[in-house]
Amino acid sequence: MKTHMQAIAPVSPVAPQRLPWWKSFAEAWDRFFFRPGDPTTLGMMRICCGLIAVYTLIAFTWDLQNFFGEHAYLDLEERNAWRKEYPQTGLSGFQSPEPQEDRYFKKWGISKNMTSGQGMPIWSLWFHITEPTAMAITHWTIIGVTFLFTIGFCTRLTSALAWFGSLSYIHRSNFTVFGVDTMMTIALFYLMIGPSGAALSVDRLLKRWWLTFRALRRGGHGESRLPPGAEPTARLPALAVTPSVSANLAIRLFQIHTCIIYMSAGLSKLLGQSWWTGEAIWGTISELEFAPLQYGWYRAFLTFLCEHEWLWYLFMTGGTLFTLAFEIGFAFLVWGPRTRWVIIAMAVTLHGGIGMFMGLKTFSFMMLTLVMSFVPPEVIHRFLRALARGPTGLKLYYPVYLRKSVRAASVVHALDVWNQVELVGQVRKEGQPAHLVLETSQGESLSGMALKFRLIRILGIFRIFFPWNWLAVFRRTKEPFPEAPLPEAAGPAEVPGRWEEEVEVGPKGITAVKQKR
Amino acid sequence: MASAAAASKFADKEWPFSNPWPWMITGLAALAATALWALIFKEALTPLRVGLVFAGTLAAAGAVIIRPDSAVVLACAALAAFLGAMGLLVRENPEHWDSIRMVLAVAAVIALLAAGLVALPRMWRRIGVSVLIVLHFLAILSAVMSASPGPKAMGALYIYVFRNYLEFFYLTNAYHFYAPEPGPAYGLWFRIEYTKPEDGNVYWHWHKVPDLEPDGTPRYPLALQYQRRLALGMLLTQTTEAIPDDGGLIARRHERENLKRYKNNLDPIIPRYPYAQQAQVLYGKPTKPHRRVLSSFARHVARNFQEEHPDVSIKGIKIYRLIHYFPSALDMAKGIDPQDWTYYHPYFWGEYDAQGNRITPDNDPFLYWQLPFLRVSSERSAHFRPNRERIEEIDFAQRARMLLPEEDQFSIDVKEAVAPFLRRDIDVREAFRHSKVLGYMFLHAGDANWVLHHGAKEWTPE
Repeated sequence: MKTHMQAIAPVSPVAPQRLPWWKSFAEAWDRFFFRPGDPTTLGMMRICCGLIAVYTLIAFTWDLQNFFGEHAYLDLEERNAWRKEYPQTGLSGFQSPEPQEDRYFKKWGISKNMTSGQGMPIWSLWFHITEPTAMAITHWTIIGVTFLFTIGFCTRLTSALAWFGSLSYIHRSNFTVFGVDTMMTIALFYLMIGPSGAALSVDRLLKRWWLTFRALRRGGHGESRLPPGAEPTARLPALAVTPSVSANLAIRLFQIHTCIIYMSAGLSKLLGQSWWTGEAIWGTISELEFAPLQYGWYRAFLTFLCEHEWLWYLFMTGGTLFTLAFEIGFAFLVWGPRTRWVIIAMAVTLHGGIGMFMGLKTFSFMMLTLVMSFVPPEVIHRFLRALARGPTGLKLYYPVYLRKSVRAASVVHALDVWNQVELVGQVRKEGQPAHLVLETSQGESLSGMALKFRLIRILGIFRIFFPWNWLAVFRRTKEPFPEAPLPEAAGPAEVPGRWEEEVEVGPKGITAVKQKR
Repeated sequence: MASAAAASKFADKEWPFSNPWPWMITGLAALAATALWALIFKEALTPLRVGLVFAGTLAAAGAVIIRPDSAVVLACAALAAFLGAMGLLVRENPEHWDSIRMVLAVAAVIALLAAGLVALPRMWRRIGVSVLIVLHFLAILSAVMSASPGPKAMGALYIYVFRNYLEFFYLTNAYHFYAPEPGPAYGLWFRIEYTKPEDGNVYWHWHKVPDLEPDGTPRYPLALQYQRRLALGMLLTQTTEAIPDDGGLIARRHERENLKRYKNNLDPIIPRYPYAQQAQVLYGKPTKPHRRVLSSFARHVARNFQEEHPDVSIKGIKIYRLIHYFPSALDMAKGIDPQDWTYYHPYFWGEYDAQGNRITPDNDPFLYWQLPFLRVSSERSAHFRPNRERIEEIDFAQRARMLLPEEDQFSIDVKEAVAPFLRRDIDVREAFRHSKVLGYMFLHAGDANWVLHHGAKEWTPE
């Protein structure tokens, strides 16, 4: 083995050069927004946001005509009048014009010359599709597209369509909109900008499959007749997630917007008396329309609090201070690696409370999705790895001369995100089975349906969905898994270059592993 | 060893979606065809043309997705979006798919901007993107800070610079959740009055938005359905007009009607809410745009009811806005039910016909007034006496606390009737046991049953 030594020039002890402030700022700005970033966090946010969006849209099914039909609560005629003529109020200037009591005044209660404009630049499919059957077909198409976005299929396209579809509902029926829609719109907007389908998506699996299949086919796998003396061999490509500038940019947009939301929510509360007296929380947890007051236990809990004045003050003041501290402190504390987890834990507590005591579960889930933008991708990798943990050291033997088998082996390799199964190509030979065989570390050999079921049981990508794996997730995060390198766990963006692997697969299994920067 | 790669036709094969041009050319062709179609055949076969516009736009978008860093592809996408907008334009009918035309026009501008950006060297591209980031967040901040009492400069920025951008993308929220104070919940109740052809009698049905079970459980399968109706009530009803200059006239109308009722000994009077701190608590008139929306709501409710009961004839729909305040901690400690009717403040917002025209005249004495729920002693009569009979007993300083110019002629008797049930230094449960609630909203609506005795589940006549 040859070793190359690189001559390194001695470094003289010179003090680091101090850059002018504008140059330092420009460099910091560039690092902040334009450094390549791992899209895994974005992928996780896409799944969470997509699930909420699908649920939100399905909930519209029962009210399609009530909220969006031609004769909805806010009927089409009236909504069209709003979007074309609604008086946009301007600032009260130093000299107000004389009001004119014309037709416009009679219609809107304000003189046209007192407005800063008329109408709104809003849009919706439901302004134009009004026939009930066509509406139902369009509605289910939007749900279908949003589902595809959630699983990350054709994500670049479906993210734009999901955003377009969701906003169609919001713009048509602005009187039924509340916090969850506001936050969902923000999330869909940034997920559309960033490569939200570059990780944890069907797109990613398809790419993995294609790269594997093409590499194997290029190596002569799947060819029943090879030239004389030729032997199938292939280099499996590196399947690591590629960090990108757009992923980092989208995450930064999410992060800044989330900080603005919390800061605004926190500072605006300081205008209210009850947020100073420490009683504001009472107004949120005792409201029949939001709080679960229909449950006896909850009512008993509130009564118990009220009967013990000191406890009531402790609870309300504590809750009020907690809310203010969290919302105002978020933008300052979430950036520091040490305080980030404290503030994220506070976010989970606050939104868990809002979901439980105020009934706004989808809103809370959506807010936590926005907060997720601050979760480093490595943590998500670790979390998923803990969920996916399964046996390793398996071997999948496939006949290299059968295209069907090569295709199946490519599928398994694409789904084998955590490198649990080693591919072993087998040339045509007497006594060798002409089908896929899975060999476990215990020496068990499986084929046919048994092989498929076993793969579903053991492959991490399926194990994520096993509920019992979720129960043990916190224990498992501490366990090393798997021993093999993790192709999905792309290095953090700040590391210049990443180790990638090229695995050579021959008739006797993996013949070589090469690493390159 | 001979290379096996030579034997494979896959050797040079790329991902099937790696060439943008078939997609872009198909998209452009389809969209150009629709533009011509709209120009020549106008609105003929509209669904097919619109479908083709969507398909062509998707094809062009697909090309951009395959090669987003190509200025030429992006410029072609801008052309495709423009052609798509043309494909939806029918000159004889300017409203034809106008909002989607606007989306396509915006998409064309964005694609052109993106084409310019990707054509720039990396450093200038990053500067361009940085400028867009700054403008975007300036727009967000203008929406956040223009909400009262924000700086006027930000308000001007929002109104004159960023409003269209923010409204288009629905980024207008100021995020002032539960600020400055956690507020009450709002609802709308519609009383549909109708006649049946067989007997000609007047029947009624209460349609509530949102609708709750008596114990407070929402009557909807999904929580989101309930929350949307809650938003429907809240967004429409939480804003009211300022009390007009002729507030005294409005108050006098209210007083005269009550005095007339008292003198003629007909219906019981409908008193004011006796402990109003602000005039808006007594009287809440929706803004003009919201009054238009109320008409639309009335049309919708009438139409749905008519579809469910095709043989009835709708006479009118009375609309009531309900504000539901939460109980104080002291009330809760004393054992008062958070669903007590006195926490509801109903307002009469007019009677409408099935076409959404308001039947109630502007000079109706109770229009936009609160019609309170009052708890009084169970022995107490619902007929209150005017102050005139005892007016000399109160001094002027006390009378001056009225918020509207006109004196409330029934304030003394009403306050005396209500006062014992507002005291918290007594055994409230025991006091409530000998009480009843007078539901003036139900009385006004025309329900014969408008008195609720303590412990009873059904409203009864007085």
